Amino acid sequence: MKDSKKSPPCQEDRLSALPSELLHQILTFLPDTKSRARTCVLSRRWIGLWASHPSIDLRLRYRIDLLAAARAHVAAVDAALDAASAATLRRLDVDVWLPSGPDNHPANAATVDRWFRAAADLGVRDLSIQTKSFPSSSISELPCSLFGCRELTSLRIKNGVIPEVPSSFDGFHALTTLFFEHVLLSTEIFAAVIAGSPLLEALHIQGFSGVARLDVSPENLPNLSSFSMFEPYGEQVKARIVAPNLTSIHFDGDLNLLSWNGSPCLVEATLRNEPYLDFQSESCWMELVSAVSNAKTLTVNNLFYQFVIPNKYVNGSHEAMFKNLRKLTCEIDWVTGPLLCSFISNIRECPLLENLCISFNRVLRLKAKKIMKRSLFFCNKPFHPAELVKAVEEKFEKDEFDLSEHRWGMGNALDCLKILEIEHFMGTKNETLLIEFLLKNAVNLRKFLVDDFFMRTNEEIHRLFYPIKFDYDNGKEELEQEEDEYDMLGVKLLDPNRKDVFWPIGFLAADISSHALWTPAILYLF
Amino acid sequence: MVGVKKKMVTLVSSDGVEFVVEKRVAEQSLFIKNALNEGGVEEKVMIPIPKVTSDTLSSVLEYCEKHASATEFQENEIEEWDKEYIEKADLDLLYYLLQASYSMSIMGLMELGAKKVASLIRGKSPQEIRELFNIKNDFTPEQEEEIRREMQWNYE
Repeated sequence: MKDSKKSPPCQEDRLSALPSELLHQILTFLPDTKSRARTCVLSRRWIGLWASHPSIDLRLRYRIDLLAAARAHVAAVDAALDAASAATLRRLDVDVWLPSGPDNHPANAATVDRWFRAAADLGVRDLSIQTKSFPSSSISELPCSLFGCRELTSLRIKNGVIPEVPSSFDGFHALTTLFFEHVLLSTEIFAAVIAGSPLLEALHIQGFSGVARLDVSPENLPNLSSFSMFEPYGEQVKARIVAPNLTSIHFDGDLNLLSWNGSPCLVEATLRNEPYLDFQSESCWMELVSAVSNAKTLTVNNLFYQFVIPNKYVNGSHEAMFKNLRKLTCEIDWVTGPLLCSFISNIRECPLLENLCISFNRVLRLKAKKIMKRSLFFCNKPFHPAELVKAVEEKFEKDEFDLSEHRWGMGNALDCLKILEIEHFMGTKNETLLIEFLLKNAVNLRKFLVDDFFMRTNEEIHRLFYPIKFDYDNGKEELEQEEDEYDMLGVKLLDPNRKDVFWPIGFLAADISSHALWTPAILYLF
Repeated sequence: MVGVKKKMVTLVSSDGVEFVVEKRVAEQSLFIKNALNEGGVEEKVMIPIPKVTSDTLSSVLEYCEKHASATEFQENEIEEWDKEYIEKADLDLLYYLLQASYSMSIMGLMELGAKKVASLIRGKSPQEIRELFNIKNDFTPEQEEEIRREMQWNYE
């Protein structure tokens, strides 16, 4: 290790001679406040360094003796808060364990109350608190002294009941980031918190319950740039969003309940409807399509294909709807005929698309598989993937669709497409049709990844779908590595000019320079 | 690149060695960037870098060169490079790099060095840390005992 050729190894303590700010930077990369505090025994120089560190981070480590671990954790947080000074402390990030039993309360509400009061006194800017409640899964109410931390710029609460806002609450006047995860609160509390945080830029609420309505407007949140709301438990939220500075939005749930007119600076959007949930009207659908039309990155399901986007003409010439879109992740339940038709029509509205990911709904596929397996079990028959594929085709994807009239010429809308990813591919007729269509038209494709639903190995797929002898050649080793990395089913193509192209084994990769020969061998099966 | 004259600046180390580098490389340092902005854009700029010796400066500039030419698409590659770069620095150079990145305001390098030192501290006993970094224990045994008592919460 020591190979310094010049001066003899130095005997000076240069580390301690570094400025405190640098030593704090070093302490930042130690795991938590406990390990930072341990450096205080090194020498006088180090004695108070840990306490003047801007951040207190303490996680509760589960041990066999949970109660003792929780008590030690409380002692550690108390000691750290005790030693900290308002001049240096900025951030408090701690776990709280609130056991459900009546008599074993190492960290009861009073403890958390004490911490919140200390944080308020110390002028903490960045508060992050995660309550753990083991063994019961119930969550506990946080003390309302939370609302006394007036200098917060960032508040993050994971697992907990948000308390009623006290009448003394005069707002989080500096708060820019609010992050609620797995919380219970009411529409009124949420509204009161938002009303008290006029500088909010990022609002994130995930896995929540109790909120039925949300209103965001330039009057209450003029600076909002990032909004996300998903996984509501039970009741869906009716949200009305007016945010002219929004760059990022994420909304999962019933999109019929979202009223949002878009934003001129939107960059990315994730708008996911519940499975099987359709838009109630084409106009309601069209409103959201227009709202996301200037995004660069989109993650959607039926927002992309429930209806066909009408041609838009600006000054007499056709203008694409998604003219900035670079990356599209489209989730598809089942590939029905109408879906195929509108998908193919709408994809022409994305002229700059570089990265397309088609993710077939895994949950629905698993459900179908489970049902089939169960019925086969009662008949004492073995399960076979091909039978599931056939059943799915008959039940969900029975409509035939003729793609021949959708053959595009050169200069088509998929010219920029470089990466095509398919997730949870089963190999139904319509899935195959869709992929075949995309491959045919994406003339500049560089990478093609397929993640197989049945987790079939290449050899299995080979035997299943590909009756023609395929020459693995010396590409086999590489292939296996890639498979580990991407969990995909693909063959590294051995064409010296396009080495980075991946082909699923089902596709004839013999001569990719000629489009006419791109016959998907998968079709032979059907 | 023929015909495009790159803007160059001259950096002078504490031991008087001159380094002529491209402006965009030197500007990885906020200290230099600010100095250039204040001084206006002149052709022959000489910027003295106090407290940084030529050995250290050449290593710092190696870092700046790499990061100035990296694009956002090479993130993984840059990470690998950083790892190797800091791995081959011995303890002496590590101190100097930290000091230099601090005085020259090169945040990325400062973080990289701090991470490296933190990784050397992690999992070691106080005595092992003292030995590694030549930290002199200047506590009396009584003081040490007292600190340990105060730190009891940390050892439960």
